[in-house]
Amino acid sequence: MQHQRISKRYNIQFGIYAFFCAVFMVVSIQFPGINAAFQSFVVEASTPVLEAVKKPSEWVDVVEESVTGHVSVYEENKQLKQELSDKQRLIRDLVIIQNENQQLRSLVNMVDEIQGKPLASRVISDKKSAFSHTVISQISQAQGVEKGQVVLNESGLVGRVLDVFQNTARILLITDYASRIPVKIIGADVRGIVRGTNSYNLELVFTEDEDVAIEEGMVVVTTGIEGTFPAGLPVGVIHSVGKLIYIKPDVDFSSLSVISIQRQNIEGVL
Amino acid sequence: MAMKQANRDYQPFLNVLVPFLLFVLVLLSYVIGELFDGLVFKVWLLPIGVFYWALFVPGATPIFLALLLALLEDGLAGTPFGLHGLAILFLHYMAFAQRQSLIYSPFAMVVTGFAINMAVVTVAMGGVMWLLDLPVNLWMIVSWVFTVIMFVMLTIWFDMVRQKFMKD
Repeated sequence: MQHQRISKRYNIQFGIYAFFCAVFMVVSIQFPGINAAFQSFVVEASTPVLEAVKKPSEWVDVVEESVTGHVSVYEENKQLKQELSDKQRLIRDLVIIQNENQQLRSLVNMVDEIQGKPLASRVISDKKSAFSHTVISQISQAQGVEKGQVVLNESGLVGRVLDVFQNTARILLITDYASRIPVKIIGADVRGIVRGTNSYNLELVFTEDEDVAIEEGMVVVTTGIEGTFPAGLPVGVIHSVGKLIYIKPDVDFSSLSVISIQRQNIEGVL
Repeated sequence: MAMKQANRDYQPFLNVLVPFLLFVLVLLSYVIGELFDGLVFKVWLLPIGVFYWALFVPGATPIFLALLLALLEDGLAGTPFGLHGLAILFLHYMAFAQRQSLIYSPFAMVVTGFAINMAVVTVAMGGVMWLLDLPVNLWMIVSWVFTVIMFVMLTIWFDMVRQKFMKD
């Protein structure tokens, strides 16, 4: 057996690279801007690959939908008819409330919370891990997307723009551990702060009044207090009340495909 | 010098094939993550490739290449740059350090060696996450088990590839 020791050169290389990694890690945590520049380079370079990767994922979704859809088509039809009838009733109520709301808004000369044109964008990469919950969406820098703008989809609040690159933007999801949203719990009439947990749940970490009874099923919306998120955006529903209070987001983050970036002017807010 | 010596029994094509295979493993981890979005545990294939090839064909697996691929993983995963880098560097170093005892050992010993090194990496990454005030959960153990199982499967295939490119 030929004995082979680790060469001095290898040891030096290892030491330099390990030191480089440690420094890089500390710098990227302390100064996220530098990290973003490197990530921008990687994301931009890998965008064509990401798009190609997304295709088979979409095909799998289509096949899955088609198979499961055929299996339960009768039951689903019955359920949908029931839902349609409920929804029609809700829409009638909604139209009445909307009219009333419009009249009241014009009466007090209320300014719309969400200003600026929305920009529909496709999610090209999900980066949900134990470390972060972000997605990459395809945009163009010329489209007026800026850091901090609000991101929605048809179900509710998705997050906000974290970084804007040449052709893509990184969106910080509300489920990210770094995300903090001032919210109002409708029904309990109390305000609080919701944070992400890097999973598909949100956690209510602070309430103005701790004695208020919070119950499962209560609706959580944004307060609009700190200025980034407009008031009244649906965030989720309280689904577990115990030592910790968990909120199930309205948005299904496991199948996020199209999002809407609200290109409002956020100058002076962040 | 030693690295070159260790590589002399293999066809030079392996020097191109191994980096390509490692790059494919990075992409594959990413594709699996994209396809199975609901997966709560991490599919991480690069350490398998780096450990195996650094052990058996070190000349085709330079430490700089391992570092570059790990940094690419950091970029794709959105983690702080250098986090995967440190983990992969550690595995590369351990493969080099344990090379003489592992390459002549039975397959079960190689798997055990990898499992122990990966456990150290998993605990270290958990520690970093804890320091960064990120939630540390038990799914990391599932990820570790999954990676060890994948090591067994991929190693069988890697062995076939390696034998194919051995010089007569």
